[in-house]
Parts: sequence; C-alpha cells; structure tokens
Amino acid sequence: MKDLAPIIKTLLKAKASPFLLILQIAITFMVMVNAVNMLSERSKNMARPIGVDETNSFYIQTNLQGESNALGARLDEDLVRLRALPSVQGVTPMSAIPLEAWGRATLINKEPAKVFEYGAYFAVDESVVEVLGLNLIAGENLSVEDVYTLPMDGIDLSTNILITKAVAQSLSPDDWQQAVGMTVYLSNDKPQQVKGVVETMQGPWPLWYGVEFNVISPLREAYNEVRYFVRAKPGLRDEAMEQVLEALLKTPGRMIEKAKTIETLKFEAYQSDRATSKLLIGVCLGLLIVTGLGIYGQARFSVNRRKRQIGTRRALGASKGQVMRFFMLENAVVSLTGLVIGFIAALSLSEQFSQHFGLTPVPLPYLLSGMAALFVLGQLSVSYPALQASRVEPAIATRSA
Amino acid sequence: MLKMTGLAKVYLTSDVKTQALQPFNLSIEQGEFVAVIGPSGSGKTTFLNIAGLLENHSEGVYELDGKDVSTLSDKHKSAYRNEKIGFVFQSFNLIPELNLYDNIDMPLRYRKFTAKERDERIMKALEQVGLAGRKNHYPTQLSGGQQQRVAIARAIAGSPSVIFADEPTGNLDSKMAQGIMSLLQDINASGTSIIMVTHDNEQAQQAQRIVQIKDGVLSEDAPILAQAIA
Repeated sequence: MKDLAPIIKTLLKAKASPFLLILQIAITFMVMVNAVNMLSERSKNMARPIGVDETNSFYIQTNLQGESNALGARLDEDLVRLRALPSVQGVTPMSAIPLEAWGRATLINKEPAKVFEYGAYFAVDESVVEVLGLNLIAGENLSVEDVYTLPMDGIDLSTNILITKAVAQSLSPDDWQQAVGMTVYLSNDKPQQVKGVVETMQGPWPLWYGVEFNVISPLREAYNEVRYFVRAKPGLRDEAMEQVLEALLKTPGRMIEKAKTIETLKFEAYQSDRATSKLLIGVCLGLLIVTGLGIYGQARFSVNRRKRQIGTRRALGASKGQVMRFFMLENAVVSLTGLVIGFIAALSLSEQFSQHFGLTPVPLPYLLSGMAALFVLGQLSVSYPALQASRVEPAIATRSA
Repeated sequence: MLKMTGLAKVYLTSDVKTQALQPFNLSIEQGEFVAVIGPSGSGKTTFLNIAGLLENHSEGVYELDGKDVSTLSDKHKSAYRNEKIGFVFQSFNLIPELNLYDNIDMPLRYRKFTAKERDERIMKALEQVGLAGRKNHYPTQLSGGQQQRVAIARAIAGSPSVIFADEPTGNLDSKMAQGIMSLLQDINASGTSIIMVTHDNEQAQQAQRIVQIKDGVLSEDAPILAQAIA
C-alpha cells in the first residue's frame, strides 16, 4: 500500500488511458449485473409451476359440428367417448389453456364497475380440479349442479367460481381465505360467488403480470371450436394422445387444429425467453472477455511503455515483489473506481428497468458479487503483465534512452 | 567500503561467449571520488551495473561494506541498493507523472521511514540541490540541469554510502555540467563515496582516482587520458 498515493497521483496525471478503462469497467459492470438480474428473473419465471399435471397432460383443439343448439350434445358425445378410453384419466372442455397465449382477459372487481384487478377467465366443467391436477386449498370444489352449458360468453352468467390464491390474496390481503364466499364482478358486472380457491393455475399469457390471477367458471361453452384438456393415466400420455386423436377423428368432418403436450406448450411459451437469455449470456461473456482483454492489453502496454521506469524503480530499491504489487495495486485502484461508478450506474439502470418494464430491482448480493467477480477478473488479467514487469532487469535503467 | 576480488563478467548466449570484463581487483575506500573512463563499449556501464548491484558478476567476490553481496537474494539486493547506494543516471530517469517531491519520495517509500522523516529528508535534499522552492513542479517544467539536480537529490535523500553516477553530465551543456560536478564534489566532501563513469577528460581529472577500462580490461594506470577517451 506504500505505492497507493503515487499511483493515484500518476493516474490523475495520465487521465485519458485510465479513464477509458474505468469507463469500460463501469459499463461492463452496469450491463452485466442488470443482465444477470434479467436472466435470474426469466429463469425464475420459467421455473414457476403452471399448477397442472405437466407430465401427463395434453390438449386438443378441435371443432364441433352441427347447429348451435346441437353443439352441447356433440360436446357430451366427445366427452363420453374420450373419458372411456383406457389410457385417459380425465377430460375437461376449456375455453383456454394455460400458457397457450390465447384466452379471455377479465376484470375482477369487488364492486360493480369499479376496476380492482385484471385476470384471465377460464370456462370449464366440474371436473377441472381433478383433470388438471389443481390443488384446492380453500372452500369447496365445483359440482355438477354448478355447471351450465352455453354456446359462448358464459361470463355473462352468474355462477359459483373458483379463483387462484393470487386473486384471493388480492381480494382479501389480510386473510386470503376470507375470499371464499365473497362476491366478485367480472367484466360484465354480473355477480360471481367464490366457491373455492386453488393454489396455482397460470393464465394464457406467461409474460403478463396477471398470469397468476385467474377465475375458473363452471361453464361448458359448446361452440364450433372447442379445447379438450386431457390428463392421461401416469406414464401413458403419448398413448392416450394417439387414442384420443383416433377417437375424435372417427367423427366425420372432424378437424384437429392443435394437439400438444403441456410440456411442449410450456417449452414453446418460453422459447423467446430462452433465446433472450442466451443472447444476454453471450453479451455478458463478450463484455467480460473484452474487459479482461482490455485490462490485459492496457497493463501490457503500460509495462512495455514504462520498462525504463520500472528498471529505475528496481535500481532505486524496489524488489520484484514490490514491482508486481505496484501494478496489481494500480489495477485495483482503476477497477475499484470503475466498479464504484458502475455500481451507481447499475442502480440507476435497474431503477429505470423497474419503473418502465416492471423488473425486480437488482438485489444487493448481485451487485456485490458482480463487483467481486469483476475485481478478480481485473487482478487475473493484470497478473501476467505485472509478472513481466517484475522481471524487468534493474540494469535497464543505465541503458541509453 | 567496496572490494572486488577477481571479478569478471561473461555474457553467454547459445553459441557466443563474450568476455565483457576480464578478472580484476579493485578496492575503494569510504569517501573516495573515483572516475571510471574508457571508450564506448569498453565495459564501463557493465562495471557500473555490477558495482551498483544492478547486474550479477560471473566470477570473483564482491564485498560492499564488508559483506559479500554475490549470493544475496533479489529482495536483499534491492534493499541494499535502496539503503546503501544512490544512482544518478545520464538521462535523469525521473518519473514524469510525479512532481519533484514525489520523485524523491519514491525510493524512500521502500524503507521504514515515517512520513515526517521522509518529508525532512526530501526537503533537505531539495535544499541541498537548490530546488526547494520547486518541489511541486514536474520534471518537464525543469531544464536538463535542474532535472539532474533532482536526480541527485533523489540519490542522496536516503543517505547512501556510495553514489554511482553514470555519465551524469552527458546530456548537459558545459555550464550545467560544471554545476553538477560542483554538487557532486560537495556531496563527496560530506563523506559519501562517488563512483562516476564519464567520457569527459576534464571531469575525470576532478576525481581523486581514475580507473580506466579498455576492451574489458580494468586498470588504474591511465597515463594519457586523452588517448583512453574515445
């Protein structure tokens, strides 16, 4: 540390070269910690449970044929046929599928026409909890008596409903279980009675803030397009899918729009997130490599430029170790300055991301870990040039300039 | 103070052996002012590097202040250079980014002096060379002669036993050169040994002893100085 004061004076005198390196370290740190924070957020999002049996389930999007007043009967025929298949554990019609990126958004209001919360609306039948594998954590399950069959827009009807825990917590922040029995108003302001609460069931749009805010209504929508959510018996998903498709295609005029496992659906839902994550990792690695090489190059150049000065220091009494420590300390000063500036810049950027994109602010441990990582990178990058500096012979001081 | 017995220097490359200095004996007592003369490439700088512990010799024994320094580690040699030896280089070798005060302070920082003690030594050295009022100036703001005075101040601030001066006036005009020689004489008068490599016949005559090196052979008998100097 004896060299600290002269190093700071030298850096202040030199200005341009250390300033550029400080700037590079600051920018790298700012981008890196925010990118890592984004990666972590995305990773957490992708790891969230959908709430359904992902392994054994799939869905089919198909058509119902006939006059509108006959579609209810067509729906029943399909359900009876599919539920009878040996590999199928259960089937429910759904107006939308979690993470499918298609569905119906709704207001969830405590009072009519007073906007309280946004969520997604699922029209299903009474078997939804069992078929999807939902976890009912409060209240009662839907029953056959709760179910209505309508051509479409079941939301216009007053029914008993299930809600997710996230909705319950929003409706009754002090004690979410008190949400059971509450009356809520959806987009059409029709009163809906909360009959039960399920732990999790994600909505259709994975990146939407309201992905966990969902209302499940016992309404079979017998329209000319229908989605069947099928849960196979454990380990028989692919077999069940084949049997279901075969059974459905026995109906003349049947069209299968989609047939997809929930695992595939989830994989596809986060495809852009994965691509972005890979890009962010690439950017981070690139920045780290460029910064490491920048520090190395600058240190190497500095050693070559100052060989005579290093020789003079050696001649005047600096040992090899002291010369090496001089360069390591010089880098430490530059790195720490860059990291302090980067710390402030990273906080500012994080705040902007938080305000404009709803991202979680970068946590302090990320900032501290990032600082430590870049500091170590700096020291590693400068170690070889510093070693070379320590090997400069003191006799170079007497050579002609 | 300085005793070299059978000292020699050989440079070895993969297929070439160069005898830079033939074996020689030399003793210099504390307080002596010795001039080392010889033509270019004769081995003067090699001698200075070995005597100043900047380079290792190949053969012989070198004792400095009664201690054999041949086998010292790099760390100990560095400490020896720092405490017992002062250097004055032809090109001054000041650090341009540091002001005069910090340039003189640099070698002192490697020793266990307190800040106050360092300050006293720096200011005393600057006063001795007549530059106390310019301690905050940078080397580029000074003339060549003034820069060499700073280098001398840096050399004497640590109170060394001996100062090795490598062509100290080589880059200066005659007036500035004489000023530097006077300064070295004054320092020598206070008891510090000075070993000065020079091309200048007149300056060599101001030393108490003259050592001549020619083709790697060191001798003290230099009857015709003008011939020895290229």
